[in-house]
Amino acid sequence: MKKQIYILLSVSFFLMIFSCRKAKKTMKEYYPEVNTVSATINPDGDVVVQAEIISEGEKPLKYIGFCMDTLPVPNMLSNQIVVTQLNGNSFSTTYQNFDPKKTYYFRSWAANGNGYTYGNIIAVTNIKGTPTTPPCSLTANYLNLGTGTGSSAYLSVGAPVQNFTWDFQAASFSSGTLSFMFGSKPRSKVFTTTTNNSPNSNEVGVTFVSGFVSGSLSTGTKVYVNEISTGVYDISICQAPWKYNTSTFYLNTRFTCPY
Amino acid sequence: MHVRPTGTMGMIFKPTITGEIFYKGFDDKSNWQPRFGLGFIKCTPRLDTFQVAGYIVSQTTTVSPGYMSYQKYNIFYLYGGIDYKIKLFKSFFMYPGFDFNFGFTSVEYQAAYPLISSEGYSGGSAYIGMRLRTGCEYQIKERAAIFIEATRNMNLIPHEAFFAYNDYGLGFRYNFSK
Repeated sequence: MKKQIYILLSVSFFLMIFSCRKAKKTMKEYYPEVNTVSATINPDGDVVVQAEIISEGEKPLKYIGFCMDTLPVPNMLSNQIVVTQLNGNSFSTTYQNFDPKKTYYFRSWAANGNGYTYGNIIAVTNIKGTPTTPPCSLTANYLNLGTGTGSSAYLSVGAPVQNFTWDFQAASFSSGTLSFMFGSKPRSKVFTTTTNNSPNSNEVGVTFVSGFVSGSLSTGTKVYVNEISTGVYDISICQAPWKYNTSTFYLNTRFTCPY
Repeated sequence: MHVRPTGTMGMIFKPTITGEIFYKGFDDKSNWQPRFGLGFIKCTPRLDTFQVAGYIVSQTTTVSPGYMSYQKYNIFYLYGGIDYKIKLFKSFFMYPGFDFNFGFTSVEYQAAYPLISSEGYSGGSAYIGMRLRTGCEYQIKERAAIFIEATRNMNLIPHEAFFAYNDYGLGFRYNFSK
């Protein structure tokens, strides 16, 4: 009988000791800990923000990400980006479209089953891209389709308008109209042409209509964009191949947008 | 009695001191000692506001930085159970035991999740639970004894939450019937 009682006592004792998740000493231990490591300006004027998870907290991570604002203490909902990939303990994202005259504040955050915490804030000023240099020197505001008809001056060039992609048209007097579809807001950057209708942030689709001829620039050609002032761009395309029937032609143009 | 919340409850509430009144049989002939009693716990939150996250998941995910603050969290309970008394030395006993609990929580809180919801709640819930106990008792006189004991409480508010806490305490027992 006594043996059974001691067994019962032991079972009770072990249940009491091991059946609980003890409360953590500090509240910090329940929440994730995250650190905003850096905010680096790319040559194209984008900002790559990096952060690291110091600890997941008491429960597994649910979401991680960044926020950004021109206010010194960004709220999680301000330009929120949820990051889906964690490389080891690090994660990063890219922000675009900045006004060089403003200061931007970047902050990481992480959420687990208990709640969320913010990382430290990094302030970045004078965010602008390095000017791009096209390999050719062209006369401004002329279009040459490369079909042997010579160059034609531009009549009008629209300002980029956002409809999922950033679109505008450039109409010349006698060489037709070029249509541009940028995957992200134009800025000082070398974009690459694509024939895909959904260009990514580094790509641009360029199509044209000239009389009965229409076509699009082949994939992989470089489009040099320089933002000369806010919302005003100098765009150059050098020797860009396009195909019509079995022939290949080479387009050259440089223009100011809008014009 | 020192109450130490564990698990999720341990994240939210501080340990606290409280008391309990109970009846326990004083029968010298039997080792089995029934007991029943009542208790009250006033829980104090560890923070004024807790940072909680809400989620909007559609084609994209938005994480909402919310908060939650407790104005009141009180627990009132009744219990009944049994101890098994083991004599270790003269006038010194050890006893394991268990109880079944039935109680009520009285709760008041505010919660807000930007873009999702903002709500206040004031009300309560009934709960059921059980607890395991180990204690030691020293019989000072024929009618009086002092004891210390440690208890593990596990409680369930049906369809809502599980909450648990440990407590250890010091008590005095007096036999009115002799």
